[in-house]
Amino acid sequence: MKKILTVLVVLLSSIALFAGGASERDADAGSGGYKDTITIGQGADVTSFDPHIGKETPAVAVTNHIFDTLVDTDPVTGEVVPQIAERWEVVSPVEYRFFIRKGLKFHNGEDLTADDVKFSLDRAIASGSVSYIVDFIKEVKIEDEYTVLVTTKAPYGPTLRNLAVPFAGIVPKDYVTANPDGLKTKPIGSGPYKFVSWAQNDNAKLEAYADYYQGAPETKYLVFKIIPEASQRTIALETGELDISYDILVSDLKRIEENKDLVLLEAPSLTCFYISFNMRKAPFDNQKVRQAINMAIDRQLLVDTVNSGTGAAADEIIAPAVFGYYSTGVWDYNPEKAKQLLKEAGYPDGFECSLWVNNNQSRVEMCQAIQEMLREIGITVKVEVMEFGTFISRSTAGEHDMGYFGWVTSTKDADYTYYSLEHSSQQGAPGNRSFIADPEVDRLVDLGRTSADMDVRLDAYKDLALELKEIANNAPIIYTAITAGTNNAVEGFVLDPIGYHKLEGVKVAK
Amino acid sequence: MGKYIIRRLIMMIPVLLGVTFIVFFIMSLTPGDPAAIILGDQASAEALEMKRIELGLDKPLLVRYATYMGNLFQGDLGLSYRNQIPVASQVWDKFPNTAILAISGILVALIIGIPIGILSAKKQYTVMDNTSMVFSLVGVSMPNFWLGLLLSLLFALKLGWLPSQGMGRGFIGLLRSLVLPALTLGTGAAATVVRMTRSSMLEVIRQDYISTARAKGITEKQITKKHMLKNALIPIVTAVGLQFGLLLGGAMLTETIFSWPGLGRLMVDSITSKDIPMVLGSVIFMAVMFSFVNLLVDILYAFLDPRIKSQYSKKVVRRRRGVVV
Repeated sequence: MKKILTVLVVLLSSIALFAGGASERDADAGSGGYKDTITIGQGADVTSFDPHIGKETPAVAVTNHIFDTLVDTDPVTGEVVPQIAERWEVVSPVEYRFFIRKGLKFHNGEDLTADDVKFSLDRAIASGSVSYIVDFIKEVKIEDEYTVLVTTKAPYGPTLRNLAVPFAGIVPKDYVTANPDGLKTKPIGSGPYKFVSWAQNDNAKLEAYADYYQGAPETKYLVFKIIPEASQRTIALETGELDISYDILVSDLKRIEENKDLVLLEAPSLTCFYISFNMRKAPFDNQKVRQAINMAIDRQLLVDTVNSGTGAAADEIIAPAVFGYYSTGVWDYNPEKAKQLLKEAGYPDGFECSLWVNNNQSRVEMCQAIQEMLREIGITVKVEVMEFGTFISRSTAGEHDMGYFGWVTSTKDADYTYYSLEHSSQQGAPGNRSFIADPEVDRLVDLGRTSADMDVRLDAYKDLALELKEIANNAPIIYTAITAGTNNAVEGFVLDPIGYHKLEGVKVAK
Repeated sequence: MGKYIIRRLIMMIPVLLGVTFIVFFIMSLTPGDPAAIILGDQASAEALEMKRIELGLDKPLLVRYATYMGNLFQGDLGLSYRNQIPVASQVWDKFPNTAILAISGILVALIIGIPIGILSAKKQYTVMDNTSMVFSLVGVSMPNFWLGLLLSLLFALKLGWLPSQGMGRGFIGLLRSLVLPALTLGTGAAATVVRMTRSSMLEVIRQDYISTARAKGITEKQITKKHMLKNALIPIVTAVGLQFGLLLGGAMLTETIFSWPGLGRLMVDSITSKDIPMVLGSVIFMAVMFSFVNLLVDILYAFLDPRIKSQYSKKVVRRRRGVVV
């Protein structure tokens, strides 16, 4: 018994001893008034460091510091800006010539040339994971060591924005050819940070690339810590173990806001949640029924209650930060007019139908709230929750009445969403699960897709937005919010609506 | 004894075959296309098909199972669907982390559980006994994720003594980061150990040989240590062994709360992403660990109780009988 007591005493005194010990964080502190390491907390691990495989946000949040793309989009203005290509010219509606910056080097010291660009784009096109971003490309031709000509299959307006997506990252040809699996765990790119180490499910560490063409990043090290439990991320931010924490739990937002040492950042994301009506099935083939449902949903109430005040009511299936967004105004909540429309459509007593959703708690809660709202206009909705794979395959087959979907406009260009969700050629698996097939909609989608003239594109998308609101094949519900918390020593952090943020300009005061 | 161990090891083969068979078919037959889960709801039909071919999902189920088993016998657990990294290396990478946590958790459980269990039994129905029983009931009932968060709030946020999450580097760093998850894990297990020790001791305490020992004038301390505890240990060892076997497979909740990079989290991640090779690899590993710990527990019985040892070795039994008769 004495021995056991001794062990207990030793254990307790060790705790007290550790309490006085210096933390790892302090040991990392650099000189010059700023820390040499930024510690970032995120909910999930990097799936793959290969930019042509790991397309999930937690992966790209790390890899977009390692790999650069031909062009980039400015997180604030949304404009396309040069990156690996110092400039470009549109030779014809299907040909883009890119002039590669001379003197660029990969982290292993190899020169970055046209050869690497062609190899990378061809590799991305062949990738089962990310080809959909670059499969508009017909051919990449090397004109000289620093010039490539990208030919598209058809005139494609969003070419530059697609090439700015991190999945089109430029990788070193020689390294990948010699070691085809190398990028998965030991990535080498030409971005502002070099890969240092990865402890799966624990952390990923990057080090500033001193020879980066824009100059070395502000902070020497980035450490991405994987903390799956959201409330623990907030605690770690409060204790100072983290400088930046991504994806704050809705219930923690207030706690961060009220903490004077912390800063809460929030912006509408590029994700829209919407209901798709299956227009192949009655009564959803009736425009008035679709409009009635749109009018019966009080979106602001959903934002304020189910979403605890985060995000915004949606008026379109593309978010405001997307190129081509035109505000048509959120549907007015008007149950009386909705009942009237149902009556005119031949359903004075309403009807019964189902609303499918995948087994994600917040999505299910949203559907349950919508179910109650529709009950008020006489529509009895059965919310059917199913596993994600089943949900996708059965809704692809058009078995649903209504489905609750989420869509991210990953390229920040309206075409990405409009073409997939509204074009008649994209019914089913590609995304058009309302099965809309409208010649005018197709014409406007095609016009926006094929024109290289940005004004023509913007006009087409404005007309399209108005047309779609009238047709009401989908009911846009909410735009989710991108959230992050930082301690107030963090300087230069910009929240990108896309969900992965660039940290080369960020520094943390000691 | 040697023969017994070999027999037990051979018996693990059908267990593992059964495990792979059940898990493979359950994972494959439950709805949900791994390709769709990996690529998300925005992937095109072509991309989905490409991914299915890449993962070998275009082949019939039985062919896939046969291929998997063929590779398994050569020690190849395949590549993870999600990150295309060999499953075996990921499992081996994570095992030491899980083992550290499991051993610490069990140590906490034993350090807290056995003394309190003994005291409770010896002072049955006193305030001390009732208090410890209430606390152990609370300990058993309290969910790990809640206890973990409370400990984090107190020791990391309020007192600032310990890191709230993660696995620290260096000896001191590791120990500091280990305290909270080990306490979380150990408290639940300790509650079981307390109850098990108490009831097992109570059974022994009333035995005639205890009265005899007391009559012989042996000190109470010696009686507790040599006569009561040793005889009460078998059920305790069984319970602790089972707990330890489970913990070695990864304490999913505790690992998730404290961002401990162990097998439990690897398994949760792979189940949610329907990463069949990764789930199979982790489950096979878990089954091996469980069988192995069970075997160790059985061997330990022999050391605790000479009667069991004599059953393992028939020659010894005969000789002894011969002597007696």
